[in-house]
Amino acid sequence: MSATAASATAATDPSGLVVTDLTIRGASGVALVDGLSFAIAPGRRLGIIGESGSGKSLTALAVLGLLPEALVGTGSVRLSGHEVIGTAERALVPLRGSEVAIVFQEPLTSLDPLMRVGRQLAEPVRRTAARSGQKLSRAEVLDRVREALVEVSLPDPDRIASAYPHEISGGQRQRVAIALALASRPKLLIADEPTTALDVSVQAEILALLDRVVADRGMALLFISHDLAVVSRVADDVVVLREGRVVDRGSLAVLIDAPGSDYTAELVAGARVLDDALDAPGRPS
Amino acid sequence: MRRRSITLAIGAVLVGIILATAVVSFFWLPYPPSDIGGGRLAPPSAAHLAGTDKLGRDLLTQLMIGARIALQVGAGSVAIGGVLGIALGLATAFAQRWLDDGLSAVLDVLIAFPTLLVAMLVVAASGASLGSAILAIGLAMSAVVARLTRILAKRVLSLDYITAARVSGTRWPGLILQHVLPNIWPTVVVNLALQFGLAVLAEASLSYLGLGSPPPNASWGSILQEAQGTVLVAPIGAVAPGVLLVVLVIGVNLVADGLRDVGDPTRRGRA
Amino acid sequence: MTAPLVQATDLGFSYRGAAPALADVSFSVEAGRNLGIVGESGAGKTTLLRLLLGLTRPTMGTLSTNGVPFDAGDRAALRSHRTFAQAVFQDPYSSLDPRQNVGRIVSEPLRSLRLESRASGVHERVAAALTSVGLPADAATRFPHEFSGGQRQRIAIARAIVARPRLLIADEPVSALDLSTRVRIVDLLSSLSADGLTVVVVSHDLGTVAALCEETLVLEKGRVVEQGPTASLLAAPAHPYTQKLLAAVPRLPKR
Repeated sequence: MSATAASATAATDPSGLVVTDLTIRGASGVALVDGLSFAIAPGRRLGIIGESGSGKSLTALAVLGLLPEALVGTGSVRLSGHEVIGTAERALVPLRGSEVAIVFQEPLTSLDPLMRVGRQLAEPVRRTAARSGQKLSRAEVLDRVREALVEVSLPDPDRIASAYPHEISGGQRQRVAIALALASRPKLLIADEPTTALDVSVQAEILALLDRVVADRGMALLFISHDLAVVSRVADDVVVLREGRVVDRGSLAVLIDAPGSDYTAELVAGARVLDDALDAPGRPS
Repeated sequence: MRRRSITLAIGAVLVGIILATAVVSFFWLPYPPSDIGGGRLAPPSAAHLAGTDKLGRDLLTQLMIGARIALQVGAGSVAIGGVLGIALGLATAFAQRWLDDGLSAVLDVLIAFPTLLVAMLVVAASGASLGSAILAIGLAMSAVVARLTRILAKRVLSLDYITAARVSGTRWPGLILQHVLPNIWPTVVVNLALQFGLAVLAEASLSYLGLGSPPPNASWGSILQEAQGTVLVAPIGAVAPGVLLVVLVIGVNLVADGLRDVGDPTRRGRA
Repeated sequence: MTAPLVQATDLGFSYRGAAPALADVSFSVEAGRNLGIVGESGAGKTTLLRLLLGLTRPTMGTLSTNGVPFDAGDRAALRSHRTFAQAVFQDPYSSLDPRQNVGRIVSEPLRSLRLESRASGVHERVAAALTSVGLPADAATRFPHEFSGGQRQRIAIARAIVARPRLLIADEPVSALDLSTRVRIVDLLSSLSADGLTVVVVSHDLGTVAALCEETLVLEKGRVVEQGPTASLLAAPAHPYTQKLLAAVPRLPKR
């Protein structure tokens, strides 16, 4: 089975993200994620495809060591060789940012509404510099904040930096959220449904942006979505999750042609109906 | 869930004790309220279980009547404050912008006034009696209830099921009765229960200030005030009404807390 | 020739003192030809939907139904409009009153519009509506939280069709749903429209519109930028905004 093969090769490689037999249980003991294994080598990309209740967002939280108190994670999550599961919060803090960062679905709630965008960005910029022993001057911080905003293709970075989150558009907010995630130079970026709350044309721009910055920085990307077509824009390899279990894994292009499970087949068929309609409009029969 | 029902049970027992006392007081009292044959400031004895006051009246008799009055005050002012407050709150929630702004400003001013001050004004104007105390406390309460109702109703009114109901042809009386009230009811009921406790305390304060109904039909607050001068000689006259007040208020608060989940279909039959 | 179900002429709406949210919108809905109204946030989709449902009155232009001018301020006209046009909303979690059981939710149009006086008649029509959206008739005694998102949307559709309207106005009916559920709801709307109901879908998702609607209208910033038969509009979009929207739709890898 390709699942064990993938984790076996990954296990010998200490760098990147290696998740082995991750199980997340709720208070009642029911498994919300059940025996999940996958690996992302440095600079590689993986998509997790799943619908609501598949455990895909819990997996993202587990990788960050941010599972809610009521949930218990077992198994292993290794970030560049550091074990996350069972590690004390204090020891995890330095990993977040430098090793891994996340972009959420709703940019409005992931930004502090009472803080100007520039100040929010200045924090990780300063922290990252301090990590490498640098002490930045005010002007240097401002410069790096501006660079960060330019990197995510925000027009007029000075205006954006001095704006509060509610004063900019949804697409701009998501760009800021991406800039925030990138500011601490993580090796792995997790994007959890980053375009679901956005308009279609903005979604296309954000996907193109993610594609570019991940390539430019040589980062690894874990992209989580329910939408096959969206995932196909940024990742080739995918894991299909259903009710916490892996039902399929491999190249998305291959899975679309030859689904390895009934569930994947159903997902592909559904996506195909709406996709085909664009080429030949008409009611499904 | 388990803890909630324990809370509810303890609250119900405490309220039940006071309620039972009040009910009994209608049928049986140890002595006639005005009987002054007990000797002044007698300590507790077999004849006078709680002793007597400074005029020689039986204290237990007065405390039992006080329970009746406390419940009357609570129920009466919650009825006035609840009906008026909910109606006002719904009106502002449904009203045009300018009317909403105007009424909300009035409510804010009313809430900024301490309940006791509003009550004192009303009582001063209409004379000290139990009725005017209840009316005054109810009026002051209605502002608080109205503001809560307005906020809750506005939130419900912004939801899609209200738009769906309008599209279904439901007009505003139906919107209120079928959708808004059932959905804000649990929160409002809990708040009204809390207000019940506050009303009893407010009446006690009014009585303590000499604005309540005078003895022999005294409320706990009046008994407390009467006993104040002789607290060192006969402490029970000051302690007993205070303890009963605390029992009732805590009981009502526990019931309010326990009521939160009851009657919510979304919490029933959930796996 | 029969009059179109809906005829909008130079329809416009502006909030007091603000720039128009909608201006110069003209279109018609012919019976049996579903219309898709496509646009992104701020395009005026929601405003147009509210005008069509008679929840708001236009500040400019006119709206006719079956050839008769419609005034949402006229109580009798509004009542008959409610039996003519019904709606389904985006979020099936907020469009069903959590404290009513499904039977009560679905029967609301019948009760509010007094279309059925006998309790047994209401019961039968609710059961029929539930069956036609693919739910068991005993769903009527259960509460919304006992159902999944897709089933809740079916309940909302049952409520919309229980009074047998001519027009069903669906506001992003599938965008809050999981992918596999989405197609089933599109299928359901499609089969209902084969049964004589005309559907107006308001959506940002071109795939859903393409699958359901013969006609498409593209809104940008409160104005119509392009309209026409869906097939020709998608095959050869004329307006740059339509082209941009179409190019932005994420597609599956080609087979």
